[in-house]
Amino acid sequence: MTVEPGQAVQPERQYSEPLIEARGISKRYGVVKALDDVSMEAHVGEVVGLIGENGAGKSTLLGVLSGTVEADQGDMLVSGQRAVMHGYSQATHHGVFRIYQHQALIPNMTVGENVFLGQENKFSKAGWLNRRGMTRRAAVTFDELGVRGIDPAASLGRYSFAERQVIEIVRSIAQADLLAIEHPVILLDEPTSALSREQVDFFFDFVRRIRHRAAQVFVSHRLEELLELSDRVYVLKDGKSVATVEDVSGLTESKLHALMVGRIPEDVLYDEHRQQGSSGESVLEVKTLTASGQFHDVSLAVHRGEIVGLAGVVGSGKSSLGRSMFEAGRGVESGQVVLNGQVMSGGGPREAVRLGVGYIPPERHAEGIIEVLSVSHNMSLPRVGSLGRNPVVHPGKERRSADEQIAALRIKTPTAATLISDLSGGNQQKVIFGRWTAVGSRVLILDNPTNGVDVGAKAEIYKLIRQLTADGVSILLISDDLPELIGLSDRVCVMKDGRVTQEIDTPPTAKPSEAELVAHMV
Amino acid sequence: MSVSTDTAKSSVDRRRYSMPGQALRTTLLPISGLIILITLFSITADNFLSTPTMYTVLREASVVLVVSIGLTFVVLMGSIDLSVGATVTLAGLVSARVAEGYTWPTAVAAGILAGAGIGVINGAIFAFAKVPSFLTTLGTSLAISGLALWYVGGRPVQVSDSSFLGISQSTWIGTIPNIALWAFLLWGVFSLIGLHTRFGRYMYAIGGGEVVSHLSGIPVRRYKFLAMVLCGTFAGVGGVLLTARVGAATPGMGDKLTLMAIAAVVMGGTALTGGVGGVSKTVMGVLVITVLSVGLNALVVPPYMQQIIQGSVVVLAVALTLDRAKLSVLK
Repeated sequence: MTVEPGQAVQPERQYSEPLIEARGISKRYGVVKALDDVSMEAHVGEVVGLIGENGAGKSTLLGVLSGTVEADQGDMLVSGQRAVMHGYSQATHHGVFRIYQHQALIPNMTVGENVFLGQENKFSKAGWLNRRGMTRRAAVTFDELGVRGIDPAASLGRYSFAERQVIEIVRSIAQADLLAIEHPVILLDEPTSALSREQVDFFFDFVRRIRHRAAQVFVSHRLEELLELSDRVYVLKDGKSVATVEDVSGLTESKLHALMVGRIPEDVLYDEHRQQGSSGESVLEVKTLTASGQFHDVSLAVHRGEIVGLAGVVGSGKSSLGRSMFEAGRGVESGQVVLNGQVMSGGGPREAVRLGVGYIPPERHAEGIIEVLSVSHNMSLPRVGSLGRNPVVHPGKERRSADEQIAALRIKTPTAATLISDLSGGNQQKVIFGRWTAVGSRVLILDNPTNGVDVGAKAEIYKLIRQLTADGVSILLISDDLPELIGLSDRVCVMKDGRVTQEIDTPPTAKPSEAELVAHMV
Repeated sequence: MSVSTDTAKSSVDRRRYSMPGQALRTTLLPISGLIILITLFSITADNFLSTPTMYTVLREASVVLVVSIGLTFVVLMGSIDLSVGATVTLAGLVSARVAEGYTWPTAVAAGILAGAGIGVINGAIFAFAKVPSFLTTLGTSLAISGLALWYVGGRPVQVSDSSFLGISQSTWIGTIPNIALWAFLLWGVFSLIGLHTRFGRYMYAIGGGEVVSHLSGIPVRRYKFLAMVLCGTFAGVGGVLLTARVGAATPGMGDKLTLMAIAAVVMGGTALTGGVGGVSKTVMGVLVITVLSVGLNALVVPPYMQQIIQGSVVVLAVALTLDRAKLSVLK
């Protein structure tokens, strides 16, 4: 898929009146004030950034804007008219569309059917659905927006995540057209969290292209992206709007960060001076490891107290390599995974856990936590699951161990018995760390450990990683977040098409730039 | 590792293990349902609130409870066993047939082993051949029914050994029927196993997130297999107890138990999606279902009408107990 290069549309506001405006919105959940007198507006022709830590109220505000959350106080105006929205479908009739982080598209339907999902009544006669009409109309919109290479009649499942993200936006515009709304409001709810850097570029190009058609609100955890795309930025903190930045040109990531967390960020987020170096004995090694279609002939070693970064674009094989190592080499075709000089026998995670290896998977919800279980039960999984010999689980010991980790890792939870799903993303991630620190794992394989956590929690996780290495734990850090990868690692191995193509030393004094790393990745 | 912090104290001090709202709801609903039913039947049927009726409820509840214990583990794991009813029938028939030629301990063992054997087959197909449990047990259920009919030529088998019958019918403590003692003993033991052992924890973990469990080193497949074996074994025990209670094993005698047990497990508060609930809770579901059926009998409601009422109550009860707000997908 390509997006035609069109003339750049000036980001200046074309209309004086805001397309969507929220005035004095307040929302309480029990004793928690999720939103406290928050106002914001978005005009046609601009991308408005919305930022804040987890729990700052971004999701609630987006919910109010899209009709899924009912505000206790305050007014919503669309095109200057007071709008009452009960539910998302009413919001769409006012021209408000939300692009979710986890896409709301159905892979086994065609692109065209997806584009007009929920508007089938506009295409049916006597209950008979006019699929061709849908496809044709979708094609018109794709053409208009200059998106090439997407066949509205093809099954959605054929397209990549980034392409689908574009299709979702096209859907907003196509549906707005259908409802005779000239300018829709598009709420982009962390649309880039699952995209690689070049996919992000592609996606941003598209967002800029449709600027003149819509008012867009962009929510992201990634400060850098927010600064890159937004014309104005609203900063939320603890349910209050703490700052509105009208001109982002003078803004830096650290200034934005300071606004969000309300304190000056530490100069050295990554604490480079605490790097342990690569001089320790080799702890975890892979030798000519090959798994067809995933990675090929990979050899690398992680030393005691060292952090080895693994860089690469999505699909470079870095995630599957990490997973194979934690599976103790299960399912590989050739090669070895060696731990402390012993060749692992392919016994799956059970073997790895027993030998003191821990793993933090990239997908927290699907692979990291069991939502229906408590914090303490989630934390004790490896201990109970593969280290325990006693058939009886001792409730007192389990709770004490959980309380120790909650204190040590500063996990914010009312009690150890609280359901893990009630915690914020950052704290859930810390519980997963606690799983391994509780059993004293000596080697950790971390796959995007700060994915989807807010800046404050990130800093704490970095500290924790440093503390672990100081205690002699060896870490393989797989990450798409390049500043983090460069900042934390002692060495970075770059993977490309399933092979390690480059190994770069990253001592505290001579960190490579992101661009250098990217050059090896693509 | 040690990261010293001053927040350590406060988080430990605030250790209050309060019951979340949903857990409270799933506990209170069956209890209040039970109270409502008992009150209703006491008013409408004059002989309902009496010791004989109580014993009838206990006798009826026992087999359902035994079958539901094993099933609870399978449901906790996020799977289902639709073959428990057929397994009860098979185990009953096997034990009754064996009792004709051998001593009663052999007959009991044969019945339980038959159940365990079915569990092994279900477990192997489900956990190792990776056929969804729903389909596996739907299929084996039909096969087991056929096997049972073929084994006895479609005729009921009488049991005359008084020791065998005594397993269910004797009274060791006061006038409480033995069958209830067995059922509640097993319920107590397996409630504790569910809450305080690794096996129990694995069921919750696998039901809540299979991938997470695998990545924590839990041998997921082995435990999926074991849960099915356990469930089959309990159905076997249920078959033996039922046969001893009735004094005979008849083809089709366990058929109703599949739905009753599933309804009891779910009404007790174990979610079909897995990971939530437990054996200890299942007993309330069992009592609600049994009181309903005994009460309707006491009122001399025609059997067809009883079916209609029971079916409606099950659906209503599940609708009330399920936390549908949290179900993002309903399948």
